[in-house]
Amino acid sequence: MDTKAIEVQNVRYFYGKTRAVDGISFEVSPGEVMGFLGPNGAGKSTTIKMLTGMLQPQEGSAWLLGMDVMKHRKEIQGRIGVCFEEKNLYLNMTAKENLQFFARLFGIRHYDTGTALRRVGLDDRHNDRVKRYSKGMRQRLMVARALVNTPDILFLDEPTDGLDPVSSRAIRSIIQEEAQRGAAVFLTTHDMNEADQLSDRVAFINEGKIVAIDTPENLKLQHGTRTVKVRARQNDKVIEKVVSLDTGDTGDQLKQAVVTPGLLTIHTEEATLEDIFVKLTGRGLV
Amino acid sequence: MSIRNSWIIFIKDMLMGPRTMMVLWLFVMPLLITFVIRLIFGGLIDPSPRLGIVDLGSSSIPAVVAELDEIEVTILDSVEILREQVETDDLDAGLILEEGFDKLVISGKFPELRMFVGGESLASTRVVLAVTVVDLVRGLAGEPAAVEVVTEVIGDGPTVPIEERLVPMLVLLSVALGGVFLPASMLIQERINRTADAVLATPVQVGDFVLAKGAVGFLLAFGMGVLTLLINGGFTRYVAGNLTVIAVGALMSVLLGLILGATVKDLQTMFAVWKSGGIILFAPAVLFLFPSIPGWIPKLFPTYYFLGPLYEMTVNAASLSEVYIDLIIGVGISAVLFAILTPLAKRMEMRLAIA
Repeated sequence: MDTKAIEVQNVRYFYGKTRAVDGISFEVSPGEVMGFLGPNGAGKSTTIKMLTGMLQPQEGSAWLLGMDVMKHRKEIQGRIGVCFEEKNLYLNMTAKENLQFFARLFGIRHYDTGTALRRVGLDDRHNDRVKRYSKGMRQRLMVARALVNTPDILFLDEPTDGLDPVSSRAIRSIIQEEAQRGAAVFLTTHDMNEADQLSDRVAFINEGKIVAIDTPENLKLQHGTRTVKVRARQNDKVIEKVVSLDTGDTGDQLKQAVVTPGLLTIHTEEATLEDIFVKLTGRGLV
Repeated sequence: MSIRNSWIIFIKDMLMGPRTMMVLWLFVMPLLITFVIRLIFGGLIDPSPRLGIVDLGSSSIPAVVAELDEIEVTILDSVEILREQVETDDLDAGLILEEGFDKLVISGKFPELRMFVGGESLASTRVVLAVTVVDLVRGLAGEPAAVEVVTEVIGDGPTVPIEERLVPMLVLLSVALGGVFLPASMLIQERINRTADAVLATPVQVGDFVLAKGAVGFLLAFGMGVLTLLINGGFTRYVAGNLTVIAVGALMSVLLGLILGATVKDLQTMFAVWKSGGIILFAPAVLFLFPSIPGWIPKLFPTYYFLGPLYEMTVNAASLSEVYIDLIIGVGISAVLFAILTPLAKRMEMRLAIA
């Protein structure tokens, strides 16, 4: 049987009386990207802190790479990479020095910073102090730092939040490469499109509980409405018609739609992950 | 705990240190304060009077003057060079001893004694040199001094000059600034900037992290303490003992700094604590300035157990064997501070995680 990269069973964490994480359970396999979606305060960061050994679960168990997180904390931390939401880089050090420092902490003596920085598009600025970097550059360096030890599990907390499209694209591309390499990726994000594009599975977390967990496709199938929207121009007016894909005469209705005079567009009207989240929790993601 | 991890963080901090204003301030500040205090109380720019002598005969005066520790004597060959050096303020005064000067003095005649005095020399220096020369000539003539001056020290305390009593204060300032401020500020900065989170998410344990900060603080505190003692001429022949005392002081300071860094919220709070709590650190050093204060009072303060031995060594030339009991108490206080620090470091890690 394959060892799961992450196995979480009924984990709880309360800050005093405030319920941060309330009995969540899930698994992530090697090479899988798990999107962890939820609004602020839903328990995403607390979950990451427990999985990375920073916080001890008050109940339940969390196993990473076949080891109990709290019993083998430092061993596990040597095999994971964490990209924090906060850009906690050493600003007075250069990008190269930042990476070299963390490489040494992971026991890597001769780390190829050039290749690592090239991968995130920062090789031409490797000797600049990080305080001179833009927000996007800092975030890309954060991702490069999380990859220093070629981790078996990569934790990314809002890695593209507020970034320009170029930086976001670069980071998404790296996430896909890491998953292809075989790393399990645990991704928290507000961006539903990003989660949809990148994640093999997504988990919706709300008020410390997982309310749904599945592939984006399955969630859409289970919770969305399958319709097609047809737009056509008739008598100088644009008219719209919605065709349900779940009725008995769907085929006939679609045939009629295709031959509609003045046809402009035909679009599938899949529910977005955000729609499903709102439907399940009664609240938005922000 | 991993010494390797601590070493990596230590090296990083040592390389990063010169890039931060705080470290530069901590390095410059003690030297600046030493300079200012020595300027006020003397000892730093109090050079000996500089006397040049041209002996055109074979007078015995140059040899006698050369024996005097308080006067810096230069023997020159020509009157022109002597004049030039006095003019350029290389010498405070110049004395010209004509041929046969000693014979004339001994025979009771009154030969002329020419003396150049530099216009930029201090009035006190001129008086010292003039009185010295008159005294030497009187000695040459075999005349006894007209009066015998009896000196009497006023006050009950020991006759230790203020500049010597200041030495423990100056060393404490250097050791405490480096030892308390540096580790405290480094820990606080790493917490505020959340870089501590990143480091503690690697195989580094909180103990490795704190040890590295302490090592950097210790190095600076010890180095600055040694430098300050050196500048102030405080080293005695018991160099190993002097170094041991400074090491104990640096250790105590570093542990206090780490406790401060692990507990206070930010740098503003750290400075506020320093302002209000600094009196506990500095009290013994201040009390040493007033010898009439009973000796048991400074012993109520923890820093006494580093400053007391330092005072005894630098002022009274005590050896390590004479002060070891106080030093052992100092090490004991450090052990207590370490015991307090250990759970605080764990609590700091927890606070980082839940922040």
